[in-house]
Amino acid sequence: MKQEERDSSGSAAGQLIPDIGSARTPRHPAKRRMFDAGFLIISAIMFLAAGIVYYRRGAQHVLDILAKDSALAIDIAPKVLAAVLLAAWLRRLLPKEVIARHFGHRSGLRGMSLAVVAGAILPGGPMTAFPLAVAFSQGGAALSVIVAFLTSWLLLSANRTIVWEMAFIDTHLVGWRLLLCLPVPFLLGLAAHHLYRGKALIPDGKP
Amino acid sequence: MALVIFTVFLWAATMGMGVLAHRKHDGTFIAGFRDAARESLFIAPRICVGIFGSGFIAELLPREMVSSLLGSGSGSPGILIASAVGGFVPGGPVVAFAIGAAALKAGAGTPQIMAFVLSWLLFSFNRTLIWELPVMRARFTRARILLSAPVPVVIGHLTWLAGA
Repeated sequence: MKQEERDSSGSAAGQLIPDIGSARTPRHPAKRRMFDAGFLIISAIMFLAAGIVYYRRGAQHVLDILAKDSALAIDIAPKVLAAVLLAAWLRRLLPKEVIARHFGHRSGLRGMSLAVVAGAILPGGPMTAFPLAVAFSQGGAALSVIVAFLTSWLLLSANRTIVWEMAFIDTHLVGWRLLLCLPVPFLLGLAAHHLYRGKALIPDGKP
Repeated sequence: MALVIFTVFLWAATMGMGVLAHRKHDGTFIAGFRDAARESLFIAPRICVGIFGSGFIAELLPREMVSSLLGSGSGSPGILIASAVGGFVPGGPVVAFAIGAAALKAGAGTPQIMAFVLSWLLFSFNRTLIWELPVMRARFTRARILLSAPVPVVIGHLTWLAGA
């Protein structure tokens, strides 16, 4: 758990933008290298694809694609910047411990609503979200609240949506996705409440 | 228009948070800037590689195959295929969203890509194996996955019905 404390204290290595945990493993939470294997692989694929387009269609076609996609990259840059800054300040102003304190004994619709909001605005990746869910559980939060929280973090995370999703997927479609996903954390929370009533699903001791 | 409102709102929220951080007078404001700079350095090259990569890959994808498997005309089978494969995309959001974007450009339908993205968000096996299983343990993880299983298929179909 020591690693988690370091993460939530806003230390140098903490992840601000949820990326579903591709960058680091729990064993090495402090390490996140700028150029890791994943980045090198996707870069290699990009260059390979560019090379094949060049070979098949010629240089002009490669330039056309670069120009079109550069416009997209420039378009999203300010939004990404705002989202990253927002996450940075939010995490320092609202540490994980403070959020966890507010979730003791929460249940019902009110608890789930709070959990959905928390999941949507929570800065940080899986190294923050999952231990926080365990902390909620240890604080006495109902299963419905925990399921709603994690589902909201997975589906509605504002930062992940702004930084990663909107860079790639048409905003119209992203808007529809968020709209359609909005009830899902509540529905899954309710389903968990009814289907797993009285069952201990989450470890209550030390992880 | 909605996008403009969204951008304004986002910057307003960011500036509001900045004001709150500044008022604390304990270095939170500056430290946040430093965190954000570091995070941006990490994110920027990945977004660029993802955007350009998806642009080039979209050119190379066999259009007929993409649109027959995942096109708007592929209907429920396409949504089911997309829901089944999404969780198995290796790596992080750049890979998953870049694949989604490339498939869209190459003729995939929006309900199918919706299902694909949702399946990746909910079931990404990277995250489940590395993070969820060790922290939440098997019983919770299994329950969450079972409960979430219908979501990509159902929302894919709702997208189809909505004509989005």
